[in-house]
Order: sequence, then C-alpha cells, then structure tokens
Amino acid sequence: MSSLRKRLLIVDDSVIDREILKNILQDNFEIMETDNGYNALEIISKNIPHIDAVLLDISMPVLDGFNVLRLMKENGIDKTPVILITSEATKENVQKSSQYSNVSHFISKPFNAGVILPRLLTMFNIDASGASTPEKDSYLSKSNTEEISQYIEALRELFKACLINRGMDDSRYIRTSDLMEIVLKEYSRSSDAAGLDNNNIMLISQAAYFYDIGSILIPYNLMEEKNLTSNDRVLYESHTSLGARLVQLNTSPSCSHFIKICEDMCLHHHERFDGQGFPNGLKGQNNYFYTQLCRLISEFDSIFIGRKSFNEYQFDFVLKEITIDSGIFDPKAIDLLIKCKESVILYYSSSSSDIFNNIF
Amino acid sequence: MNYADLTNAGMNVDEFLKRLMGKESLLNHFIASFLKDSNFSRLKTAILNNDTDNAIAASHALKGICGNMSINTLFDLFTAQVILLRNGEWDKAIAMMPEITAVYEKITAAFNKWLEQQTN
Repeated sequence: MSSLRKRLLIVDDSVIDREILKNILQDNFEIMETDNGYNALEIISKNIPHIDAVLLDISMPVLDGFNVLRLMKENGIDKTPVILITSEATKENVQKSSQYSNVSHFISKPFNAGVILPRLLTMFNIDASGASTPEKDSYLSKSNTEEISQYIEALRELFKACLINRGMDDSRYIRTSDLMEIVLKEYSRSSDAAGLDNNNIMLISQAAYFYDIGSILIPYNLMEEKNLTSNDRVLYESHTSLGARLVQLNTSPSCSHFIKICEDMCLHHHERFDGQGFPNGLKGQNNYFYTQLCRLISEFDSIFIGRKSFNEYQFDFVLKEITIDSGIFDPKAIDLLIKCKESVILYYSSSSSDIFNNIF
Repeated sequence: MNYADLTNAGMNVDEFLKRLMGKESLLNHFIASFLKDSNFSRLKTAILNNDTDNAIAASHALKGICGNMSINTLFDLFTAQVILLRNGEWDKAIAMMPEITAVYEKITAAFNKWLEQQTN
C-alpha cells in the first residue's frame, strides 16, 4: 500500500546513479528527484510538498553540493536535513560539510544498499520490518493529542468562517470526514493496512475535512466555473498548493504528522490515478492512498448527496457515474468504497440533518 | 540467466543485482541506460580540446556510474584517471585513454550483445 511515507529529494546529475539510489529507497520512502542544484533549491524553498531530507551529490556541474548547502544557509532554508553523496569522503569534504549543521550523514558511491537503507530507516525511526508506516510512530502522546486537537479546532473555525462568508457551510466537509472514517475502519481490517489503528483513523479522517481548504483562498466563482480561461485555470489550480501552504503554517513538531497528512490531501486531491491530474501529475501509487481515497469519497458524496433516496441502486448508479472515466481513481479505493456500501447508505439514511445543510 | 559474457567483460552482475535489491528485471534497463550515457564521448571531446574541467567532470561521472553498476574494471580505471586529472597530471591521464577505450568498448559490446539476446 502507499502510506504516508517520508519524502526524500535525490539531487544528482547522473540519471543512472539517481535511479539506482531511488531503487534502493523507493519501497520505504517517497522519492522526488532532480538533476541539478538550482532545481533542488527551488523545491526545498517552496517546501510543497514537504521534503523530509535531501540526498545531495557533492560533485555536480554548474552548482555543486557545497554551493547548494551554502545557498540553503544563506536563504534560511537549511532546516531540511541533508545527506551528502560522494565517491570521495575525503577529510576536506568532511571538514567543509561541518560548516553546515543540517548535514547529517555521508553516503558513499558506489551505493551499498545494506548500509544506506538501514541508515535512513534509523534516521527517521522507521521500523525496518514495518518499513514505511509512520502510523507506528509514537507521535500521539497525550500532550501531542491535545495540541493537535487545538490546531484542528482553530483551523476548522477559520475554514468555517470563510465558508460562511461565502454563504456556505461545512456540511460537505463533515461528510467527507465521516465517510473517510467509515471507509478507513473497513480498510484497517485488511492486511494492507498494518498499523492503521483508531488514532490514525481519527487523524486521517479529520485531515480529510480540510482537503479543499485552499478553495477559500481563490475567488469563489472559479470553483464553480466550468469554462475557465487559461489564466483562471492557473489560479483555480493554485487552490491545491495554497491549501497545503495554509496548513503548513503550523510548524509545531507535535502536529507535524497531522499536517503532513493534511498537506498531502490539500495538495494532491486533484491528482488522477493515470497521472493526468494536477498539480504534479502523480501517477498510481505515487499519490498517497489516503489522498486518493479522499478524492473518491468527496466526488462520490457530491453526487450521492443530491439523490432523492439513499439505497443500493443509487449507490451503484453514482459510483458508476463517477468511474465512467476509468483513469481517475485507484481501483483499490473503488473496491474499498464498494465494500462499505451498506455502512455508507446507513450513514446517509440515518444521519441528522446537519450533514445535509448545504447541498451543492 | 547466464551472465558469463557480462562477467567476462568486467561486470560483477551479482553485486549489481544486490544494489538493485535483487530486481533482475531492472538489469536490461540499466544496461540500456549505460549505452545511452554520453559521458564517454564527452570525455573524449574534452581530451581533444584540452578541456580539464570537462574531462574531470566526465571521468568522475563515469567513475560513479561504473561503480554503481559494478563494472569494476572500468571503475578502477576511471578512479585512477580522476586522481591524475585532479593532480594536474594531464599527460598521464591522457595516456590511460587507449586502455580505458578498449575496456569501455569491450563492455559496450557485451551490453549490446546481451540486449540483442534478450529481445530475440
């Protein structure tokens, strides 16, 4: 399964070396890559998506690894840990790297998978057997939980206030969050979902409430307009990165796991399974499964909520309608929603009226 | 699979497969990538033009690629050449080119033959 994995940026001008390193790490980490230092700086400075660590080759044309480190420091973007890649771990390189507090390790070329992978797993406290499931992290201490709850409440108030100013309410997002919880509970019974406990289900479901928070940062008419000019389309698509940026304003380490989930849903809820979505054209499992699930649920809800009755026939009808284009959703997510058919119908049939207030 | 031709040309296939986390299916992809890589012609051009910077960059890149693909004979040669180039021993670095070229051509011939066999 694709879970919420740590994201690494590989910066190396050699495509072969990048691909080999990516191959060593991709089962346990989400990998982004670039072939030059300037692109790396741009990605790191935007921090959308969030980069957990940079694997930086020292020897590159135009802008080498040490110049990337220098510019990161000068531009105040040196909080991201950097692992230097070198075929020459010389005394000079070690001395030079000591000026930069964010350099945490060296990786030598040729790559040794038996050294690199355990080192990175240890760096992020990831259990090698459970590989990349941050669900196992001990991030939910009592104090963390309180801080996360406070943050969620504050963000929810802000989101609601903006929606009210637009003559809307948050019923749509409550439903997305509720449906997410129903579906994740079903998912947690499968072998794919190791570590998806009740705390994580709660956290991911609450994050789903905010997937479209970026919509409050662009003109309302753009969200409804079908025929956008090219300029308007750029503005419309920016609601994904703006939403991600908004939730990232909280930099508290206690909230970082929730923010990472939330940021991903904000940024990638318009990606498609076939890679034709935006903003990054993430294909297949490169987009987190939970984010793909969030998109499926919200689209399902946007049509299902308008049906006159909530029954099996309507469920099948709506699901068929939103999956006519077979490239949008992960088939695994669709199967999961089908498995939850009964619970979903029951949810719509038996819920109080406050989830239906604003049908749009 | 029989890797004898690749091994004879200087590649430690088992070591490379370990680096590929045992994914044998990726072998052809990386062999094809090596054949497409332009650093060797860049090195030859740099040497013709007495262009030290580009020669170092190309030889260093080839050293990294050969090391990661476990083409160990070439890796050793490029490692030695990079040291010479960095130390300013240009003539000695150039003097290595016939041997480097012979080994490089041997491995590319083995790679081409390997890919042909896989497609037939």
